[in-house]
Amino acid sequence: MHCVDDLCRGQLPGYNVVFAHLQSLTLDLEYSKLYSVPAGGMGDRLPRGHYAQQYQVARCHLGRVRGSATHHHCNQLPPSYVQFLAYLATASYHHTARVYSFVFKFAAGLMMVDFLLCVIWLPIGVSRTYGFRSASEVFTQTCAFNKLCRVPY
Amino acid sequence: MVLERPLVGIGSCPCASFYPSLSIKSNHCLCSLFTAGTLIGFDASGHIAEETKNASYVAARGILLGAVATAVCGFATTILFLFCTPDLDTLFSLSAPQPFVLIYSMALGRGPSVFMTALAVVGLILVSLPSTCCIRPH
Repeated sequence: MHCVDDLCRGQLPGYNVVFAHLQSLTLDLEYSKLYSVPAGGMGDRLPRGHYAQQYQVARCHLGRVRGSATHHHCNQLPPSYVQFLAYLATASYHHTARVYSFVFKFAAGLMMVDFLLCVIWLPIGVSRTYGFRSASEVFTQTCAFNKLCRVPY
Repeated sequence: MVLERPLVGIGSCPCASFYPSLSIKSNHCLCSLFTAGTLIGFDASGHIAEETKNASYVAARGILLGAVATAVCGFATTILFLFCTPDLDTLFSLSAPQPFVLIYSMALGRGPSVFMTALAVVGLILVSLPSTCCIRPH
């Protein structure tokens, strides 16, 4: 399975049709071994070496994205993009559970920073460049009823 | 022949420029939905009520406070954005799928507009994080 990489897979006619199902079964087994998120409750600590293993998996993923022909920097099957995303989604259950409170507070703070910047910084920038619209223009006038605009496209 | 017809739009909703080929009623519906989109997510504390202590009180209070805070801040932001958009001709000539990036760019400059857009993107990712975290794999 290691000798069939993406390049020659595209050149073999009918390969995807004939062997896709068989290969997907095999790949599922391989990936389930690669991406085994250890069982446990919410917020349990992950076993030692988990992050090192996932770092290797991520390096394999990057090597595949870059299109390197030989995966000499990793000794295992390179993961697929979807499996990588699935790992991220599943593992965040473990990784972020202990920092839930911090994540929520940080996100709320970021929202407030965004809101305050929009309220403070945007009007300053508008008044320095093209200026505000007047109140009558904002609340009473419309393009449809007061003047005819040419459709730009 | 010069094609001249009024650009559709009810009130002064700037998002009318998104749907120039629709009728006035369709534009009215879509613009109402667009501004109501600020309220999306006020019930987020209900999604994580399963992991919350004293959820029957805390989650309900969170939903109510979320609705109030979103309504107040969203109303202020909508009024502010109505004043801060450029004039209608300039606004309708923006052809980007997300015209607010260009409004930031015109008002603040290139670097600050990138910062504000990145801030909005990170905020959106963090908003969607609870629903990602709450997948129970076991």
